[in-house]
Amino acid sequence: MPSHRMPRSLVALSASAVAAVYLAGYVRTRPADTSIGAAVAVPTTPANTPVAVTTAVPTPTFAPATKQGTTYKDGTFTGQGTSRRGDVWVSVQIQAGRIATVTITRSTLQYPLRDIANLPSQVVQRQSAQVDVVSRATYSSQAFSGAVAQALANAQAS
Amino acid sequence: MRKRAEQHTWVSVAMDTGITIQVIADQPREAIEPVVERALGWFETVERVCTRFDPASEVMRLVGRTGVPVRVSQLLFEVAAFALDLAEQTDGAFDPTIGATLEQRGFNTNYRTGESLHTPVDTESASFRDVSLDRRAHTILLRQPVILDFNAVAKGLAIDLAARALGAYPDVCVEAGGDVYVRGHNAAGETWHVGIQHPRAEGVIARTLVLTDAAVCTSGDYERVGSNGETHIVDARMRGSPESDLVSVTVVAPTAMAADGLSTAAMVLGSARGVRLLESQGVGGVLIAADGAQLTVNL
Repeated sequence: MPSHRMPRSLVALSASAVAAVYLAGYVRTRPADTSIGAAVAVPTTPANTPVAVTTAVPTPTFAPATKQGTTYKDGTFTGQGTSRRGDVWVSVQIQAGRIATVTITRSTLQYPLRDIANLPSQVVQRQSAQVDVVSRATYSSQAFSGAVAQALANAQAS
Repeated sequence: MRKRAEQHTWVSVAMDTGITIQVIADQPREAIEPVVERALGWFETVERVCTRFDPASEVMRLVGRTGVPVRVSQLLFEVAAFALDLAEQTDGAFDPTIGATLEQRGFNTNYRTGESLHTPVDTESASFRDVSLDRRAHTILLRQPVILDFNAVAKGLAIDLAARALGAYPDVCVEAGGDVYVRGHNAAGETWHVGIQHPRAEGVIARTLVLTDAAVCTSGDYERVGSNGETHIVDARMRGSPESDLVSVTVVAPTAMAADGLSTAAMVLGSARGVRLLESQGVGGVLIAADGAQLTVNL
């Protein structure tokens, strides 16, 4: 044995760290918008789009709003999409009949959400649930697209 | 007669991952919800302080104040203290100063906005030895402009804080991106079962651990791949993918913070040194090698 020094216990250190942080309390300084999402203004220049994106693959029939002229009721609508690797919940805000913002509110996906970080802004740009399937994140894309489609279906229902 | 306990589940999003909280209790959901909201609030708090994907986060603001001791929050201080201790004990195999390296390897997308980050710092020369802490003054000093990446411990800390916030409930499971803390029993009244994902066969459970009052965290080369195809496990000494013979390390410890950090460190160290690290720390582990062989420590 090169060293007989007893290692410091990281378990003990972590336990006291947790206790100290908990006691200090958390400060609610987060701005009102706590969720993930993209408003119309999000800059997504294709040049620095970080995830590999394949060419657009049509999503199944549930994508309702690819045509011009589809109008939605104003308001905020939610939808849930499923995949074999978990579900995604979104909140879609309709203003003046158009998709204004798309926000991922919940996820049980097994994959990091950054894989589909560009998809909310795509929905806003295209005014459609038909997003590109993100390479290496097909399940996440599928769940996201399904969630948007459901929210848009709710926005259409009279 | 005791009312039948029900399983209540909440899901949310923070720290680039989905979070699931389960509480088994004989109370209605509405009664538990405020406590769960507080528990989930911890994930947001830890993320806000520790994220390197927001130039305005407390940890990223340090970069602009290189050379000056900066007084920091309790949270950032404790995370840094733990990460530096882990770095020291692994001779820098684990090193929180790899943030810029990760950024350049494609781990640079803010998952909330989709924006990518390019922080202008030199990645090659810095190490954890360029960071010093002063516990009395509560300050962090960066001697070089480094980006601190606390990904390997922050999620664990958030899980521990959430579990503590749920302290009134004896039967709880807090899960974030595959890392989990379990307390008490599951809805069937049994000890919790935690499966370890097989690192090479999607959807296959390599092993099931039956345990309680414990955290189980797994670090694997399969979970996160950057936009250029490299994994998120970085051997700080080489600033590249480690020459580890392991494909996944699961650690069982009393805290998720320790389990999270130690699993990442053991993953970088490889089987021989990884096993020694886990043994010396008195934690449990399942280390899976590329050929599928499993090594077990203290379980």
